[in-house]
Order: sequence, then structure tokens, then C-alpha cells
Amino acid sequence: MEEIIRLYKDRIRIFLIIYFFSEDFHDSNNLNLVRVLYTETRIQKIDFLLRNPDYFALELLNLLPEKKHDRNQIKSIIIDIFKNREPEIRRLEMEKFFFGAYEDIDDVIAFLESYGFIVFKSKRNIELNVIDKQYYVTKFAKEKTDKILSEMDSLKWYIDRCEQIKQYFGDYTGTQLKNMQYEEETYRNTSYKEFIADVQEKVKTIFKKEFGENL
Amino acid sequence: MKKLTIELKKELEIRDLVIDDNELNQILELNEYAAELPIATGKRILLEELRFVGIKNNGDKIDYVQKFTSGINILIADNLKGKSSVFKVIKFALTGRDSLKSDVSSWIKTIMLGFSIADKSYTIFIDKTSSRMSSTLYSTNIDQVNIEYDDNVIFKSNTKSDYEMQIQDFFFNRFSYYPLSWTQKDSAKDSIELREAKASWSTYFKSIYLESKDTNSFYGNQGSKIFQILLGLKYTKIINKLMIKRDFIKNSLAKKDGINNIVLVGKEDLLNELKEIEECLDSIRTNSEHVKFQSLKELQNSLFMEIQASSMIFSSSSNRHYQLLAELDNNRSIRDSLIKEKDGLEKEVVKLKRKINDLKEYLESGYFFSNLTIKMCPSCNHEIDMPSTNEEHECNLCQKPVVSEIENKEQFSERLKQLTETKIIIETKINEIEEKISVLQNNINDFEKEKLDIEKTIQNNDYAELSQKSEQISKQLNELNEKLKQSTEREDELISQKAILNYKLSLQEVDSDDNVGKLNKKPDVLEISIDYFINKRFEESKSILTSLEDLMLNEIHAFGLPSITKIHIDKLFNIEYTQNGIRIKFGDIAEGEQLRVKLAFYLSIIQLDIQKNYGKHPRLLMIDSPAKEEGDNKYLEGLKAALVDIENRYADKLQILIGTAERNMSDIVRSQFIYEADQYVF
Repeated sequence: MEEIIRLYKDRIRIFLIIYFFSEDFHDSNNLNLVRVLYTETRIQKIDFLLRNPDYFALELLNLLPEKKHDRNQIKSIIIDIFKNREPEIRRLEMEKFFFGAYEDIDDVIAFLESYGFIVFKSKRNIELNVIDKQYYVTKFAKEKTDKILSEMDSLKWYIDRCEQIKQYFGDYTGTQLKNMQYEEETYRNTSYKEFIADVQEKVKTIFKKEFGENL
Repeated sequence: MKKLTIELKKELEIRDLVIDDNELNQILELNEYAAELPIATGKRILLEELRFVGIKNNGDKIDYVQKFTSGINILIADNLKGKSSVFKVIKFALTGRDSLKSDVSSWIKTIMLGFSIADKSYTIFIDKTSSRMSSTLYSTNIDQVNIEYDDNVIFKSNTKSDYEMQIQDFFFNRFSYYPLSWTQKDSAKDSIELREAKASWSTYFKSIYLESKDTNSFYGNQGSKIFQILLGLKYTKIINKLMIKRDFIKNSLAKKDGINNIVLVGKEDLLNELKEIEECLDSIRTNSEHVKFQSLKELQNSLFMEIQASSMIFSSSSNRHYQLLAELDNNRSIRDSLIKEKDGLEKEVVKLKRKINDLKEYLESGYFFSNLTIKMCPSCNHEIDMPSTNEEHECNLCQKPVVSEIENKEQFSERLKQLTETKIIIETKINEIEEKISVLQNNINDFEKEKLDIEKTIQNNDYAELSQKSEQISKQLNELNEKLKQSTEREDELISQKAILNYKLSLQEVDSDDNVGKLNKKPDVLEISIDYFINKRFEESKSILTSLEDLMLNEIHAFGLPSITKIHIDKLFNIEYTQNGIRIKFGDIAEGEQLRVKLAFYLSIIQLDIQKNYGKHPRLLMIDSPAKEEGDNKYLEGLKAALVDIENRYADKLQILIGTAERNMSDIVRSQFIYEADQYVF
């Protein structure tokens, strides 16, 4: 039961990331492709924020000194995350590889592609490494999403969180997101192929310092 | 005193005894009454070291040295190995009364006992080498005493009886004891005379040394008198004096013709003598230091009333404070364990929520990805246009059997339903616990508030300040007392001479009918006055006696006797007990339980002194074989627990020497001296 659940969880999550973080695409030669998202790194790093609400909260706190965002809004997002115990209920651990949080998504991509949700394109460099990965959302997928997704209660959480991540970090490239995540000690110090530990306590401490309240 | 006289006269008038001030004063001699107070002297005897040497009849040398510490000292050795003898040697040194077995007594040649009173060191040295016992009391530490030439000699005596007297004076002075008297028939067979007997220091010593032989008598013949002095309650002295006077007068009235036996001295001479005595008394009493002493006494008296009031507040606040601490402790620990339980359940809910989310997600995303057809080959990236297989349980791509989605869905929905139900149950439980926690928290807040208030009350209580003041006055009084010692002794002497003269004069006047009437009136006046003072004492000492009853009951319960539920101390200091709902006397208590009750009594008297500052017990107890009582295990455990408790609370304030053969009593206190099986103590 657990495996099959995990399978579907990964499929829908990755699809939603591709869907929400992609930009409109128009090619008169291929009208079937309507949106596009560049680089796998971006998917992996956004996935990390989605799977670790405490890290998302920490990154929000790190934005405060810039004063570009509404403090109160950030505060209320973090309060909600902790009130709903998301760091425990929603957490899906991720391992650290050479370039930060990473989990193989080839099967998920293959699934999504074979059923016509996305089209995956890539190039290879001279060392034959795959580079420049592009993920296109098909017209079929967009229609299905627009039609069905709004009726799905439990998936709403993903949609809302994606919106939030997009609001604050939507402009970040995969590399920028990676660099941002490396700023965090716990993340940085995690060894290769180890799970990245949670930072709830740190968030609580900073929150208390910033807002004078306990989470 | 004036107020008392007025009250007393009213009491007399009610009984048709109209009497003027002068006459009343003549009968009661109230002006000779010095107020006494139950305030603790704060003094204690601390035994420091005992040494004795000698030679046994088998030629073995005795060279016994034993140091004692403050707190509880336990001497463990088999029966008949000399424990009791050690205690008896101490008794001998401290009182001059030798109750050792005669053979053991003859073995011992010299005894040295080092002790301190109020941090001042003293050493007793007794030499029995020659037929005449010689004894010396030094104001020097035992290690520094030089028998040959020590200047710090308080007294020296060359006979046993002289030593008894002098050591009695010494302790009486140190602890402000006085010899309460009573009357008894002259021991001469044909005599009808009454004799005045006095409680001696060795009688007092019965309240220090609880010998194993008298476990089942409460406090000896003169017991309640010792109790009275140990408590030092107000009016005890005057009650005692009046009682003796009453006995004498009754006696002389009873033997009317006894007058003949008295050599009549001329009335004139008696009056002259009386006049002289009164003049002497006057001159003593007008002495400036004497006056100062009296006014200090009065000051101390009024301070005492204040102390008593504030002590009541202090002790009730302290009790409540203690109760609150216990309540807080209890409530907090229940709250904390509930919080723990709640945390555990909340973790469970988190797990359930995860599972529920997963299942819902599965069901919804399953719907999202349902009815799909393969459009692209995942292997070669070519588009595929393939009809779906007819077999529902077969994969479109690889034709392997698959579990139908519908089956999966049903199974998952069922699981979702179960989990949701469990979650609701647990959440309800959490809510219940939260309610309980909130009630407890409210209690805790209330208790904490009350505790703070009480702490303020305790802090603001002037008890300590008053006690300090009273202590200073006591000190001054003691100093003055030393100075006035001679004149006080002289005063006492004169007072008793005066009483004798008055008595003789009254006998001379018995002749006339009028005078017989007067003499007859006297016992009545005395009787009523005695009653009056006894009631007064009881009334004014109620709080002290109640404290004592409470302390005693606590100790008795600690000793494993829950069947005793109340202690009653009456105005004549008889103690009674409610056991199993029936009121009984000490003698009615089962033999196996008497010792505990007795121990409880003495420990309470000492605690009363330490905790509440009342009473005059020297805070030294010597208990021989307390475990001998045929007790259940509960008693031994209770005794041990009580001793540990006393050690923890009062180790620096009292001293208890315990001799026992019960090896179970080992390792409960620091200061213990264990002799192996069959080994002699000396």
C-alpha cells in the first residue's frame, strides 16, 4: 500500500511543480505544447521546499532583512505552517547528493510523458552528459488540470503551497535556489546520501527573535 | 498581676468569700510571684566525648573513648555487651546518681565527660580510685582539661552527695529549672507532719534518659511535674506553691491539738522577726539592679504575648504553606503526566493525519490519472496509437496482470474511513485531557497566588524580630541573674522564713474562734485560687498544648500507630489518647505500643522547642533499646524513617543517643558505632 501511495504522490507532486512553475509557451509548429519549465535542478530545489515546510519557513525568515516583502504576511504563513504541524505531517525526507537535495525523477517523468502529460526534451554536451532539460506541458494536461484539479480537496494544499513558493521564489533559477539552500548550515553539513535533517527548532528561535512570539 | 488579683477576687466573691487585697496578698503572697515564660532558652546539652578507664575483675583493662556528634548517634551491639552501662556512666557523670550494676561500677576508676551548653564547653571529671569519690566540673574542653592544674574549675566536690547537689545547681541554673515541690507524709512512722519534697535534677534526667526498664511507665512518679517544668508554662510556679501551702494548712487544721506540739514562741518575738525579714526583703527589692531585673521581666512578659500571637499566625501560615507546596507538587505532577499523555496522543494524530492525507491524495490523484491511454513510448519517444486491451486486469503496455483500480480504491477508502474514525476518537480524548489540564492549571494558578500571599505574610511576620528581641532580653536577664544570684538566693530564703513565721503566727491565733474561722477560710481561698490559676494556665497555654498534641500525633503515626487518632492533654497535664474511637490512658495502651507513644512524646517536646520555641527540654535524649518493643516490622520501619527524618531536619539542633541490638538499625544515620556479634562495648 505504502509503495503505491508513494508512487502516486511523486507523480502528482512533480507534475504540479512542472505545471505551476512553468511559463506559457507558444510554437506554431507544435500547438500541443502550451507551457515550459527549464532545468531539473529547479524542479529538485522546489520539490525540496514543498517537501520540507520548515525549510520553506526558514527561507521566508531569511527574506525579512531585505524588507522587500510584507512582514505580516510572512509571519502568518509561518504561523499557519507550524499551527497545522506541517513540518511533521507534510514532511517527505530528501537525501543530499553532489549538488544538494536530489531524488531521481526519471520514472515519474517517463510516466508523465508516456501518458501525454508532458513532453521532455534535452541536449547532450560533448562528454555526452544530458544538459539543458526542458519540460513541456501538453494541451491535454492543461485541460485536464483546469477541469479537474479545482475539485480536489487534498491536492489543494499543493496548489496553495506552490502559489506561496512561487510568490516568494518564483523568479529564482535552479542554481539560485540551490545556492540559497546551501546557505543553511544543517543542509550544507549533511553528508552525501544522508537525509537532510529538519530545522524546526532553528525556525522557532529566529521567529521568536523576529516577532517576539513563540511558535 | 493587678489584673489577675481583680479577676481572682471576683471569682472568690461568687463563692461568698469576700476578702480585701491585703488579706488576699497575705494568703497568696502574690508579690513574691515572678512571672515565668514558656519561651525556649535555646540552650541544649551536646555530649561531645566520653572516656572512662578501669579494670575488670578478670584483669582486662578498660579504656573506653567515644566521641559523639550532634544529631543521632546509634550504638549497635548485642544484648548484655555493655550498651546500657555506657548510658549509665553518662547518667552518673551528669547527675551523680550511680545506677550501674555494682560489679561494673567497681571496675570503673575515672570518668571524663566532655559536653557543651550553648556552645560553651564543659568537662566533668570523676575520680573513683580512692574510697572517697572526688569530682570536678571544668569550663574547659575535654581535650584541654589539665587535671593537675586547671584554673577553669566551676566547682569541686569530695563527696557523692555534694556532687549531686552541685551538679544539680549547675544544670538548674543553665536551663532555668526550678525544683517543683510537693508534699508528702514524713517518713517517720508515727509522725503526722507533712514534709516538702522537691523534684531533683536526677528526676528531670528521666526526661533525657529513657531506660529500657521503664518503657511501660510514662514519666515516673513526679512525671507530670517534670512535664510542667519542661514546658515552663505560665503560673506553674505559683500553682505549685499554693498547692503546698494548702496541704500544710489543711494538715494543721486536721490536727488541731498539734498546736501543743509546737514550742510556742512569744508572739512579740515572731512579729519582730517578721518585721526584720520584711525590711531585708525591702532592701533587696529596692536595689536598682533588682528593679531593673523586674522591669525587664515585665517587658519580656509583654513581648511574649506578642510573640505568641505572631507565632500562631506564623505557624498556621507555615502549615498552610507546606500544604500548598504539597498540593502544587501533586497538581503539577498530574498535569505534567497528562501533558505527556497528550503529547503522545498528538503525535499519534500527526501520524494519522499523514496517513489520511496520503490516502486522500492517492484517491484524488488516482482519479486525476485515471482512464489514461498511452500516447508516447517511454523507451523510444515515439507516439503510440494503440487500442486499449480488452482485459481489464492487464497492462496496456506490457500486458502483465494488474490490480484493478476499483479494487484498490475500495480497499483504500475503507482504510481511510477507519483511520478517520480513530483520529476522531483520539482527538476527543485529547480534548478531554485538555479540559482536565486546564482545570489543574487553574488550581495551580490559584494555589500559586495563595502561596505568594502566604509567603508575604510569613515575610512580614515579626516573629523572628520579636524572638530576637526576647533573646536579647533573656541574655540580659541571665547576666543580671548571675549578678543577683546571691541576693536572689537570700530573697528566696527570706521568703520561706517569712512563710514559716506567718504560719507560726497563724497557729498561735488558732485559739480564738475568730481565728479558726480565718484559718478555715484560707484553704477555701487557696483552693479557689489554685483552680483559678490552673484554668488560667490552661487557657493561656492552649496554643502550645495544641501544638504539642499535633506534633505527638504526627510522630505516633510515623511510628506506625494509625489507630491513635487524637491526643488529649488536660489542664493537669494528664495525657489521654483516642485509640480506635475509645479514650484511654497511657497504661491502657498495648504493651507493644507504649514505647512508641513515649518516644513520640519526648520527640514532640523537643520539636516544640526547636520549631515553636516553647519549652525547656535540653534537646538531648538517650534511648536504650527502642527496638526491643514487640513491634511489627512496621514499627521498626517507622522508627527508622522517623529517625532519618529527624536527622535530616534537626541534626544540628538536637542530640539523640540510641543503644540497640537491632542490626536493622544500621546505616540509617552517619554517626553509628557498630560492635560485631558477641563483641563487648568495653
